[in-house]
Amino acid sequence: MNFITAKDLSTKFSKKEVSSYDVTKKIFERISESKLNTYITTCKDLALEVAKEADKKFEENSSDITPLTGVPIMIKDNISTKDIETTAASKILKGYIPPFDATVVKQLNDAGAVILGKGNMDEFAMGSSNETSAYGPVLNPWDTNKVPGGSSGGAASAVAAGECFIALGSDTGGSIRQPASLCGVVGMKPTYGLVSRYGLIAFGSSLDQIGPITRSVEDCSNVLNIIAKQDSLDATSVNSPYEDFTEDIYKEIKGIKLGVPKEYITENIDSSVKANFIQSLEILSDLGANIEEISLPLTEYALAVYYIIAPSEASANLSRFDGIKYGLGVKKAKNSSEYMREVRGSGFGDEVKRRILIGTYALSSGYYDAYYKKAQQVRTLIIKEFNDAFKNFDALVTPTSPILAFDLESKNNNPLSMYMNDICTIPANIAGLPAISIPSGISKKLPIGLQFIGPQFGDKKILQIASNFERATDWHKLNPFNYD
Amino acid sequence: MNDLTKDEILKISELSYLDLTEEEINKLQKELSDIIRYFTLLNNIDTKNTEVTGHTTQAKSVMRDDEARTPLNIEKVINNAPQTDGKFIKVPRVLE
Repeated sequence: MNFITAKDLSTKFSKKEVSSYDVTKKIFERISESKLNTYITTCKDLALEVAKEADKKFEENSSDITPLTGVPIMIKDNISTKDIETTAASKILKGYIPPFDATVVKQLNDAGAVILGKGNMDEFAMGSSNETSAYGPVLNPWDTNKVPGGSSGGAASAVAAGECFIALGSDTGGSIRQPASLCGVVGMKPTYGLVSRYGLIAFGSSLDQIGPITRSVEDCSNVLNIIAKQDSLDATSVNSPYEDFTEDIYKEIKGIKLGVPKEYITENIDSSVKANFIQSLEILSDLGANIEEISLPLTEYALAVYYIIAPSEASANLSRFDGIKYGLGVKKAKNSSEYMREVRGSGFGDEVKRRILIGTYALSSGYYDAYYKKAQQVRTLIIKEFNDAFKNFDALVTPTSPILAFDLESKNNNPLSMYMNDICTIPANIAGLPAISIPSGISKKLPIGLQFIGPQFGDKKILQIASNFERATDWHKLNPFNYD
Repeated sequence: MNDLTKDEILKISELSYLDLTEEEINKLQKELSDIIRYFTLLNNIDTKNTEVTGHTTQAKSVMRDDEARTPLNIEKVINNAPQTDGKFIKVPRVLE
C-alpha cells in the first residue's frame, strides 16, 4: 500500500477502498518512525485537513478530482510554501516563513494534492550526496550506510521509502535525476522554462528547473500536466506545446532512433553500471528502437562550463541573504558590512561558501572574459552539438550516474572528484533539455538508473520511451523492503 | 596557474561579504585553486566569433501590463526580519 503508484492510489480513492485521510495519517506515522531524515519540516494538521477535503470530493464524485487529489506529496525545501517554514536546508534561512506560495505549490494545492512537508536536501541545492544539509544527511533506504544522492536526496529517499507518493524536486545539474537513480525511483527534469520557477529559491537561474520524483513514468506525466504551464510571474517560463503529457506513453517505440553518446561512458564508470547499461540497450533494441553510438566530444567540457556558470549565478542569487530581510541575524556588529559578512560567514555551510567564492572570482574584473564569458561561449557550442545530434536521433540514452550510491562521508574531502560524477546529468542543464532517469536494475542491493535526454520540448517523447522501458522491465515495482 | 595567494582569497571573500576563519582560508586556498585550474581546460576550445548563451529559452524582453496586484501580507513579510521596530525593518548603521 505504501509503495503503490499515485495512479493506483487514486483508483483506490475512487473505489472508496481507502481514504486520503487514513493514508495520510499512516504516512505521518511512518515518517515519525523513520531514521532516514527525509523531511526538514512536516505539516500534519494542514495535510490532514486537505486530505479530508479530498475525501469529500471523492464521496461527491466531484468534477474537480485530478490525478493528484488526495495524494500525499513532499515539496523540496527550496520551494516556497506559504506559512510553512522554508530553509533550503541552510542555517541562514532558519525560521523563514514565506508569505507566498511558489507557483508549483499553488498548482498542486489547486489540484487537491496533500502536502506533507518539506524535503531535506543539500544546502541551497549545492551537492550530490545530501550531506551539505544544515539539518543532517539523508540516508538511502536501500542501505542506510549510503547516501541517497543529491541535491533532492530527501525527495528521492522519501518516494523510495514510502514516506510520500510523489515529490517535487529541483534540478540544476542533476539534482532530481541522480538521487532518483541512486534511490531507484523516477525523476525528471523538464525542458527549461516548461515549469515556473517562481518561488523556487534560486541557485543557477539559467539552469534550475523544478520537476517530479515519482514511482512511475505515468505519475511523472500526470504531475507535468499540472505544473507545466506558462506563468506571468516567471519571465523565462514558456507556453507548453502539450495538452497532455500522458498521451503517448502507451504507444510503442518501434523504429525510434536512440543515440548513445560514447563520452558518457567514462573511465570511472562502475562495472555493474556499465553492464546494466548494455543490458538496458538490449531491452530497448528488443522494443524496436534503433540504437547507434555517437560522439559528443564537448561532453567533458560541459562539467567545466557548469562549474563556472552555476557558481557565478549562485554568487549573484545568494547575495540576497544579508541577514536583514529574513533568516539568521547576528547581535552585535559595528556597521552594515560587518553585519552582513558575519551573518553570511556563520550562516552558509562550506560547499555554499566554496561556490559563492568561485562564482565571485569568475565574475570579478580581470577574470570575467577568461572564465564566465568563455563558459557561456562553450555553452553555445554544446547546444549546437546537441542540436546536430537531434537531427538524427529522437533521444539520447545514457546511464544517469556512473556510480552506485556511495558511503556517507566517503567523498566529502575532495569537492572536485564529487563534481566529476555529475558528468551524465549536467549537459542537459547546460542546453536546457528535458531528461528523465528511471530504474533499470539493481547491483549489490543498490539501484541503477537509466537516463533519456530529449531535444528541447521533447518531453513527451522521452516519457514515451521511458514508459515503454518501464513496462518491459518492472524495475520500478521493486522497493527497498520487498527486494532480497 | 599557481595556487591563489592568501591575499587573493581574502579579496574574493571581501567581494563576497563572507567572513572566513584562518582555517577556512587555508583549506580554501588549495580547493579553489584546484577547481579554477580545472577551468583552464576550456582554453582548448576555440571560441573566436562564438556568441554567448545566457539562457536557453528564446524569450526576449518579456513585458506585462502595468496592473496593480494584491501585495504580500506586510505583517508576514516584516515578521521574517531578525530585527524590527513596529512596521519597520531595523538595519545596522550604514553611514559612519
